[in-house]
Amino acid sequence: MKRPTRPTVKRVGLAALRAVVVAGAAGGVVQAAQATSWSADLSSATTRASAAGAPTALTSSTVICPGAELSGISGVKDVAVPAKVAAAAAPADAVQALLGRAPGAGTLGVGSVTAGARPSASGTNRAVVVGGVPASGAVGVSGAGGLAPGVVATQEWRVDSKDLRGLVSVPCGSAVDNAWIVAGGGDPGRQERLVLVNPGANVVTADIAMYGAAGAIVSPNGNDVVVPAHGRATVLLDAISSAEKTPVVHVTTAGGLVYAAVNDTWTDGSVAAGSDDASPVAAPATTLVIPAVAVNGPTKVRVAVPGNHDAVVQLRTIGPGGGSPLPKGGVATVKAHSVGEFDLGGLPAGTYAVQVTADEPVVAGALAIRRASGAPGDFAWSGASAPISAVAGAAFVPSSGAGAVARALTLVSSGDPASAEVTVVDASGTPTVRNVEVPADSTAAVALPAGTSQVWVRRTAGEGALRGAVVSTSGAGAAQLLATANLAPAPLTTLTTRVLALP
Amino acid sequence: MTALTDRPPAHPSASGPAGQAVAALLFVDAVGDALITTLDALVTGSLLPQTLIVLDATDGHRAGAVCRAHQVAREVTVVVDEVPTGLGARAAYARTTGPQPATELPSGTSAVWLLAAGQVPAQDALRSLADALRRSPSTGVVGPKLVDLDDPRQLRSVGIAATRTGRVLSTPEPGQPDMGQFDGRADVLGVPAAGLLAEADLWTRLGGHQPALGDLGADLDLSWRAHLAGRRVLTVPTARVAAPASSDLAGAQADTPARRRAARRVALARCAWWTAPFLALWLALTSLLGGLAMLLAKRPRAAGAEVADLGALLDPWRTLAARWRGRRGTVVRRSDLRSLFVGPGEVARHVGDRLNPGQVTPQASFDTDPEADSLAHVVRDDAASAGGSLGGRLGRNPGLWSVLAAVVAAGFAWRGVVGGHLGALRSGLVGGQLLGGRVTSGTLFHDWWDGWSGSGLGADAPGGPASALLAGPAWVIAHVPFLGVTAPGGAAAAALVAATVPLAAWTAYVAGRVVTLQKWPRALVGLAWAASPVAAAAVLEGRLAALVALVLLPLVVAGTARLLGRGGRTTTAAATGLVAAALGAFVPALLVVLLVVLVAGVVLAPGAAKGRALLAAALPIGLLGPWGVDVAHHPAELLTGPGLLAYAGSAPSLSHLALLSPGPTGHYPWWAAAPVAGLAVVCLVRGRRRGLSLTLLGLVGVVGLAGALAVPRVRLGVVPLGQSGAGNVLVPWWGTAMLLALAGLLGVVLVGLSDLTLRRGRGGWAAVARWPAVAALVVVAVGGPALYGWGGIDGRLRAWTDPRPAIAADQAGAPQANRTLLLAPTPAGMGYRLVAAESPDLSVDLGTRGLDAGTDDGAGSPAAASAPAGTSAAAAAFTAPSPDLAAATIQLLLDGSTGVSGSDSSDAAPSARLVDLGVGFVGLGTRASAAMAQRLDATAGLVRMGSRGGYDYWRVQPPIASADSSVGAPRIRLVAGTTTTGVAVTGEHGATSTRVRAAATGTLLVSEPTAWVRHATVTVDGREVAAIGGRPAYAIPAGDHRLSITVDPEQPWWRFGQAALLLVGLYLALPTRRARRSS
Repeated sequence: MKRPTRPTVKRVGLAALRAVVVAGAAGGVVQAAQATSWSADLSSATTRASAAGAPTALTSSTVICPGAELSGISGVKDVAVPAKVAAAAAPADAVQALLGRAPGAGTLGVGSVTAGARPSASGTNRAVVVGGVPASGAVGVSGAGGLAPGVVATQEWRVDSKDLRGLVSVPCGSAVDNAWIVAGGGDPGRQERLVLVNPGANVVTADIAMYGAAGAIVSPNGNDVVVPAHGRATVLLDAISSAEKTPVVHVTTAGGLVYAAVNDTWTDGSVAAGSDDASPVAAPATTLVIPAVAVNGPTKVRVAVPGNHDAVVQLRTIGPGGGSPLPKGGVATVKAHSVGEFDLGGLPAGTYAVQVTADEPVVAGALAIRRASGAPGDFAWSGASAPISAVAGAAFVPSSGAGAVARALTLVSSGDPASAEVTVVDASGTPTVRNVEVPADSTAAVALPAGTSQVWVRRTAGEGALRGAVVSTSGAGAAQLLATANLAPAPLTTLTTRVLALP
Repeated sequence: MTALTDRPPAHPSASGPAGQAVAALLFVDAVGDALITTLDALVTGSLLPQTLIVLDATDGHRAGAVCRAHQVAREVTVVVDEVPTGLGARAAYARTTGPQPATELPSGTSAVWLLAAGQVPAQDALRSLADALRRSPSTGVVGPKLVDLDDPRQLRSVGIAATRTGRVLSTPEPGQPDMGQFDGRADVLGVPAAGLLAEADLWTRLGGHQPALGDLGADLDLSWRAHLAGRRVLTVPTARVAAPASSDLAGAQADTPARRRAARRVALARCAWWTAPFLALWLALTSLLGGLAMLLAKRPRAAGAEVADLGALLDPWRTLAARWRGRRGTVVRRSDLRSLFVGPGEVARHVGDRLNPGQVTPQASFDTDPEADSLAHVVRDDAASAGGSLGGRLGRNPGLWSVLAAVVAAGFAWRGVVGGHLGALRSGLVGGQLLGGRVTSGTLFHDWWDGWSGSGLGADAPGGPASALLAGPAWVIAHVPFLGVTAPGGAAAAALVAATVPLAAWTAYVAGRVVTLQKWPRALVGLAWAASPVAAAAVLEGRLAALVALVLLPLVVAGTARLLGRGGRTTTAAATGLVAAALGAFVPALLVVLLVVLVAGVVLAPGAAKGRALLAAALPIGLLGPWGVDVAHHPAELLTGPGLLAYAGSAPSLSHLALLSPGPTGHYPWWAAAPVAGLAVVCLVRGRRRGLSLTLLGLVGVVGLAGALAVPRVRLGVVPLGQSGAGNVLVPWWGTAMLLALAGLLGVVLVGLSDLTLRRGRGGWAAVARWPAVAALVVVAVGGPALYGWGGIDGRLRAWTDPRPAIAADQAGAPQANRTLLLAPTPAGMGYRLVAAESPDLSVDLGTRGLDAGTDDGAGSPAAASAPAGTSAAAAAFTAPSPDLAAATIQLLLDGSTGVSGSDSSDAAPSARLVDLGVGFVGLGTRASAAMAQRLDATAGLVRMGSRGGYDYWRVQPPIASADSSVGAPRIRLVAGTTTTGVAVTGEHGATSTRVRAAATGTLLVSEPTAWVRHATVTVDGREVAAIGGRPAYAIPAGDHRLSITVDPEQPWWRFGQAALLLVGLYLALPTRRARRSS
């Protein structure tokens, strides 16, 4: 056997050493990685803050009022009504309590929604601003700056004539893309006008669906109703169905948002039987509360089931002493896509809240009638409303003296007790603040003195779902003029969308 | 002594045939053997001149006496003219002409023969010349064949050859052997002064030479004027005159810049006056182009000489003086001389010879790089060394086979894309780390060049050099016919993704030549590199920078090894530096590793390698310029690159990382790279001469391994809310370090397995023992492509489609150049993206661009939008775009409030804000709530269009009177009084050059952020206009104006310096012909 030479031994040795060194280094690196938990953070220079969304005070707000409801339909004679719009911003104390700072200066204006129109009335303090309505067209109320948080407005008119009679008080609201309105009837001489207002700059197309006792009413006349930009469209619901006795209207839009309201005017033969506006009711839900139904005569609650399943619906009234079942049980099944009515006529006179519960989402509204047989009368629609989350209110044209409109605030808390701070502002703009405790499933009445121009309700405590409405009356008995206006939510803040830049 | 006088005189006579009487003008500036030699030659000539006029310019005028004493005086009449000392030969010759000549020619002289001391005419030279002159009455000037006095076999000149523009061609080349190859010449443009025989009348009429034109120039000029005088100029090859090498009278070569310029001046002086300007222009153009060609051929001296020809145009008075002196005597049309000039074909052939000097003269080849080692040479050498026909050579080339195997594997892997989504080649890819986007070469270039860059609103910093590098391929792919590319940048990236594996196989094969010339090991290692698990992961995940590293890293490693070695060349260093710069532009971390190695080379390498290492290090540093400083400022950027981010949570386990597994990749098992590591360990045992190389490569592998284990622990940031993978910790992609480790290991394998004997007959049993290692390499090399092809791209990458409607994409370009606001709801909020024509990132990146400078300095935010006093209403109402404005506008659109408490932000309508943002179209993701869409529907100034690509779209009505209802808000608008007009945008980021008309004094509003103003130069009719209040608003006077907006580079001198450095680098890296010493 050949013996390896010394250079060969040296070469092999070096090669082996090389392999050991490199492999050992690799093994050492792996071993070190296993043994240590070393880490480094170089992220400080690479994080970029994104715009965060948070509740912030409104810097501009707009609510829409229907304007002169009895005008604007081609081929139908316009009827002028002495409508006024009263607008106000929430009291500074309430705003400060909720925002944590004084709201600052601002402007509040009332004017036509027409593009470029200047306000017909405006103010820079927190006194009520009263403006008229145009002959044909809607009204917009705009708050800016410090007067933007908590803007509410009410359009109201009163007519007591041979041909037309009624006290109409409707809270102004926001434009939406989906609205349920409970109003109307199939009585002879009864006319329902759906007023659609488009405050936007683009034409909006609205679809009007009607539900009745026998189910959904299909009519091409309700499809693709064009509402012009910064304009109004008024539709006679009779064009969709003139015979339906218990209509419920559903408005959906495409291409924008609309404010919707229904004026329900009844001329029974030649006798003016009343008139009222119905504003959108709370969205379909299994539990609804109509905050104020002024019972003193025929009174009905109308419930519609928008869904595909029949709903078992139960009603109960809520008064100062708590909740009570209806005299006749108040439970019925309302078919899917149909409307049912519950009669509250057997109740003692008074103002009640009505709670509607169902196993399927429903919408609800109530009709209270003041009329002696064959005599002129009036009626009022009141709908289910959403609970007050922060502040709600109403503004009125102050009235006093003979024939003044009397008003009363009804608060209702469902589920749990609630405490509220009620601010009543008189005609001179002087606020009076009082705290009201509303027990669970009870109502509390707050009398509003003559000349009240604003009423505000701010939740202060409690878990109950707090709602409120103002019942306005003029006169007494069966000839009483009646209107009910739910307190309009007065948003102070908006939850701005968190905006994130994408790569 | 020469061989020219070896024949005895035969019938010498003092007069020529047919009564020719020749006067020889002998110029003597020194008395010595040269004069005696010339006199001896004269007297032994077969034809003697009648008179010898000695032009004695010697000190003390002793030449006359010498000539009279010489036996020539017995044969011919000797006349001595004592010429002032120092007077040149040509000026001395001219003393016999003119109205009052210093020396009268003897009466009856029919011809003058120019000679100088030292020149040796052959015995029958004068006879041949005189015969030629006599043979044709039209012949006026004849010249001999001039040969070298010391070696008469070497030619000096056979006439002067030149182009019409005065470019003198050296035919013959100085020193070219006389083999009779020029004996066919007769009519020539000119002849040198040495031995020139001119008809006496013509000589007198022409006034001799014009010494002001120099030596060659004067000779050429004299002949040229003879031609214009209607006389022929002939060269008579049978007449030979030997001239010493030092004599300027015999040269016909423009071998000095002065002679070149002189010849050019002659051409300018003798052309028709009206063609002179055009000729001068042509001369300038050809000189520059010629200089460029020579420069590209790495012939700097020749390039300098070419460019120096321009000097002939810088002293036009000399040309004019020559023209004035030769103004008379023109009797032929210049066009009749056409046949005398050298044609373009011969010029091209001549230039070609100069560019290919190895075949021309032996000494020229010394200019070339004797061992150029460019890639092209490598390929050529490989092909050449195989022998046989080209097809046969290629067929037997393992490198080609490895690339073909990679192509087949890639094609198979991309079967789904090729079959179903060919659009990827037109619009690019999206998926993995690729984002897609409508990117063009122009936007890519401007992204790097301009001081303001990026998509959307842009950022206050230039983009990285990767954009500039992608611009070239994007431009090329955009011009591929019939492909219909819609997004060239994305298409270029897609092409890179598709071609990486074959390209990497090729570059690895080529780079392996540093280790061995054997082809099969290189081919196998190339395949193992290109289809490794980490390479497949880079492809499947669309990691652009890693793909570039796959292709370039082998070249960089090989170039570094070569330049640090003994055989390194400057060309290698420059090429390595350029490739390293390209690599560093995408993967800065690898460049850092390389720079460490090169710095070590500068310190430790021997001799010239230090300089080469310095050059290779300086090039990428200089070329990457300020960007490198920015990257160094952000260590996080140093560890990333386009597509080099990963989630910390997705990192493989430590054991997988240690085995170079990048994570789940197609059908690759996690241990797929383990055989390479095992092979490397085996190969490390191999010794002999390459121990150092093995050790260094092994350590490179260890460094890469350490990097792969470390980077998953380096936190770079967190995925922001709203983005896919929000909340995940971002770390550098570990595959980058794995590439370095793999390169080191495969290098070890290549070194270990190269130059080994595998046949038992030659290597014995030791050869057999090597077979398993080779088999393992074959398995790795074949298995990788098979796994890559089999697994396919697995649907992770797909063709990108523009979500914007065609009209929005169209209006993103000129002239509206508006942006599209895309709103996409996310669980964390509303995500938004501003899409414009400017280049979006093609790949996921860390995005620290402009982080320091910020795109919003506050002046553009809604809260700080107050305008300074004195601004126009339009400027006061204008809010410069900013991210805050975008966010506020979106909130205003969706919520009716900006969320900015206490601001005056609500004063402006959302559409006005959108116009200020330069947004022409708004897209809302269809997953957004219907209420949001309804809000947009209800927003004044927004007009619903339709849906596309998962978005509902609205058009932002511009505040301009436009008949076209489809036009969105423009990027730039001019507000004059109550009239608003859109201004055409022709460039990137608001850059434009256009005309504007303002009916009244107006304000130009540019929808760019406030910080943009610092980078923009706005001129109206050439006068720079200042921004109003520091915002992108500019006062425009009434009238019709020329508007120019340029977005300038942040550091122009850097940019131009980089361009110059790139040119220098390219020049140095240009391969030169390998020298082959001619036999």
